[in-house]
Amino acid sequence: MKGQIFLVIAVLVILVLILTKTETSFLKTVEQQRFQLYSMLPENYENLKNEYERTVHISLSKNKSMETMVSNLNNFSNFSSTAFERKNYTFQVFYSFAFVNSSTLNITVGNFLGKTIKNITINQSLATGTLVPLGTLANRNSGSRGLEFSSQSQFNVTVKYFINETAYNFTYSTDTNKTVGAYFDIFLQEHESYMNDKLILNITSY
Amino acid sequence: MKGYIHVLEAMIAALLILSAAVVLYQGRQAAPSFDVSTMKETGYNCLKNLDSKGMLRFYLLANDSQSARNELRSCLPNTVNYTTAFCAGDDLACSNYTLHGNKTTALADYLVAGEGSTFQPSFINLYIWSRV
Repeated sequence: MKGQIFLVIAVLVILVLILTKTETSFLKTVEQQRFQLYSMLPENYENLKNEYERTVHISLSKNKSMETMVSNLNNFSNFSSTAFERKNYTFQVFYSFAFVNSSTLNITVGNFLGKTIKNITINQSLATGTLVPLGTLANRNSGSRGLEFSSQSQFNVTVKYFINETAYNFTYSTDTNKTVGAYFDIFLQEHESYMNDKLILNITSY
Repeated sequence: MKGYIHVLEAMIAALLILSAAVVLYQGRQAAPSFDVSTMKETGYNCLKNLDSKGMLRFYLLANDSQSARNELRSCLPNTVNYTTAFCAGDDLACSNYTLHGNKTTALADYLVAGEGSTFQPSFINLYIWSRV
């Protein structure tokens, strides 16, 4: 019996090996499935972010009008919303840009958050004048406010808004030497995974 | 004599464990298979690579999907067939495109806003399926 104990132990060890192997295979399968489900989110997000930047550059290269920029950004945001919805992604973007044209500063806010935002106010540190509040902005809409300025300098733009009863705000810096200072808050979700980042641009006209 | 038998049994036990370990954990040669997620990733990287060479947007604006297709050949494995389509406007899903038979097809897509001063938001779709 003393010797047979070795064989009994061997059988037990083999059983443990088999169980370990099965467990490893199971974990591998779960990991592979997760990889297949979520693997393209970072690539799609990077792609989206780069193309927002590209949209700003394209808008500035065609002509230097704020209207072209607004039209292209809204068009691109609508296009991306529709495209990513078809792919079963959740896509949201909230943007603002300051457009400097000689002595005029125009600030635009674009809402593609999938819901109406309220009580939108824009503050800037360039000129003493205040901007008329934007008020309410429905989903897939944008609004602009402008004012005159006289001194060249760096300045901040702060946008405050409400979704339901919750207040949000963000600030970005730009310069009167730059044609466009822009801020994008881009959100992309696939299943339970999501990516959310800010894109801040300061571009001098060509 | 009993001592020898114990040694023999211990050796048999050790051999059993060793054999089981070898059988269970031996490196298996993976059979070549068509993995959709890998193909999606490979396809996306090929499109990105073509974009970084400055050719993808050029072909898109020229509406020349055939040239884009030709350029992608060297990037994709020889074990797959593929085709490309430019999808934009109301036909985002490229509804004119028909899948090849009943083969599992991986779709890699790449978003493009436009090029130069031309604003033309589009998706470049790359459909990949196994040759076998």
